Amino acid sequence: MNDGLKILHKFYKELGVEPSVTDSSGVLSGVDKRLVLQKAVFVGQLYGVDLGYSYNWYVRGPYSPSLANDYYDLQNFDDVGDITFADSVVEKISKVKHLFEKYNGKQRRDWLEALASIAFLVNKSNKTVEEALEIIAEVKGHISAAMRDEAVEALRNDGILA
Amino acid sequence: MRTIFDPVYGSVPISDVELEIISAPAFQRLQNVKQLGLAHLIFPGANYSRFSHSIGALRNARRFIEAIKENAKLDGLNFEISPSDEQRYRLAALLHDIGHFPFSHATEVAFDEYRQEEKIQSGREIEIVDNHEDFGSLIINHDPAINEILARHDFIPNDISSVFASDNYVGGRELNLKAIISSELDCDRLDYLKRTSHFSGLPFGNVDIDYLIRSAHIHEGKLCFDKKAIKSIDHMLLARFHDYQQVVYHKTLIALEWSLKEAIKHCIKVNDNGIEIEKSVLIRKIESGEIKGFDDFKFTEAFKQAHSHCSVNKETSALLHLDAILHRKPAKQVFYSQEYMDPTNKSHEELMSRVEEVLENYCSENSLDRSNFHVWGKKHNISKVNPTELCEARSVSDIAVTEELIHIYNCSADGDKVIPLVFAKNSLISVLARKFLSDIRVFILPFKGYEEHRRNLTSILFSQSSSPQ
Repeated sequence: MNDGLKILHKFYKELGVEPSVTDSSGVLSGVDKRLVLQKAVFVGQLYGVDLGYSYNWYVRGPYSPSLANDYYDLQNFDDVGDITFADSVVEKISKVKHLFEKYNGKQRRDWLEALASIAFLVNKSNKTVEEALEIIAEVKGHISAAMRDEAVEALRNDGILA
Repeated sequence: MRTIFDPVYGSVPISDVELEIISAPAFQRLQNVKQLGLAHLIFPGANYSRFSHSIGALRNARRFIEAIKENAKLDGLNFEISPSDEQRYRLAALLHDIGHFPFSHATEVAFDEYRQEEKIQSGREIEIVDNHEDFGSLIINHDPAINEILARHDFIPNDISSVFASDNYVGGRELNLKAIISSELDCDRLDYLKRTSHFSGLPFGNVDIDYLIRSAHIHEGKLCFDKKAIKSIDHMLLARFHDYQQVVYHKTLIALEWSLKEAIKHCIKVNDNGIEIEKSVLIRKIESGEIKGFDDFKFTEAFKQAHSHCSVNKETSALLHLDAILHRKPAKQVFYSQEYMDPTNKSHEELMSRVEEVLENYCSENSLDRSNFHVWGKKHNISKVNPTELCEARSVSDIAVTEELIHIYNCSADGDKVIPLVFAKNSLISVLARKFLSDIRVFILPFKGYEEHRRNLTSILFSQSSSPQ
């Protein structure tokens, strides 16, 4: 197995996200669980854990096709093996973990989608925060206004948004 | 309007701003960046550059836009694109590869592995540019000559780079022709196929790409192709798949690209050999105009210097890799396995693990340097959508990458008139996209006395797998 897959596997484990494409608790559908896997890496990269995945925009927000290939590949390995992360990287992941633990289940899915989508639109697509919120309100009706505002506040507090 | 004579298409019309961009030093750099890395060491004619490929992509983008306008008229649709927007998309096509590193993809892989080792495992705080899209955006937005030309012709640099940048959001009501620049069937892929066929002498690119382009429409905001073109599209994608198998994944080219990647990593670590990777350094080089020299020659010079610093008395893997690419002494294939599989089949990963284990044990028992061996594994998909995701999808909305997929337009369909090709039941690709090709190879560097170990390992590995020897 290449180091890239080992790093991805360890990142999910450190974050407390099961790297499976199905949700063992049965709360999330396969599509939703994959959304969590996608957004976890995007948010991790925002916080400085450079896993090297490029993202583009699709209907549920930022998405990386090469990451999809990698997490599907991970499902087929019985033994992934270990790899050591630098202390500074573990520290960055703990910050992301703190953000993750705010919500559970389907709310976590929406929370991650809000965080990732707002950050993508502002940091990658050069939209203002206000424009980003308008776009999210228009194309993501399932994310409440309160959660959108909360996501902006969290990203601002952590210095991700100006 | 000027013309450039191209060996694949003949005369290619060039506008004033395009001509000025082509003449800019940062663009001329692409003359010395080979499209196919080291493929010319196997297929002697396959040595064309990113420069000629970019001219071909520009030509195809122009044809795409003309076809879309013409078909919109025939469909009775009100499709409007301003001359300025037309030029913007053509410039994006021309500049889509401006950020390719010397030796193209091997460098991206080397930079990626360097990032993993330095940033994730060692915790070094370093900002790295490790993909050509990001580097291209940096060049377009920071190169003084390109900026001056674009400004004089009333273009904003970021409006050009954002067309091919993957991380750009385009709203549903905005004009979006990004798919002609970057998708499964775009101006880039069509040129690659024709040009590689022309220069390598291999027959796979014998596809009527102008017929495909002429069948392009915009419906429901998506680039799509007339249903009559399905067979031609299937043919094109199969031709591309076979071209990759024959050229890019040729055993000797995989071996050489492995050595190239390792040589690049070696020269990054030995900083004074001059392979820069830090974003801030690269931006400075762009702004000062030095980027024009960031090409295959520069890397080759770094390899030659590194080679001269290696002790000829000590046969290290670094020396062997440098020898491989400088003196064409590639690693030899020891084992291979290729098999089409369903996405749920775990045989690929099981065989990879078994091969790794055999190799570890063999090196340990024979006191051999493990870095002289390479296990290469890849799961080839024929479509951009992951086969597992496709097999699990109950509807188109379950597929994430829809913007980049080929769409088929069927004006007489009862339901959806625009669907992804992978959902078209009369497409061969819709069947093949649900499988992947498992491809595993093992290589050995030609160190002194390697022949015996090659024979032994070939025998052991083939006996432990179901692959024919």
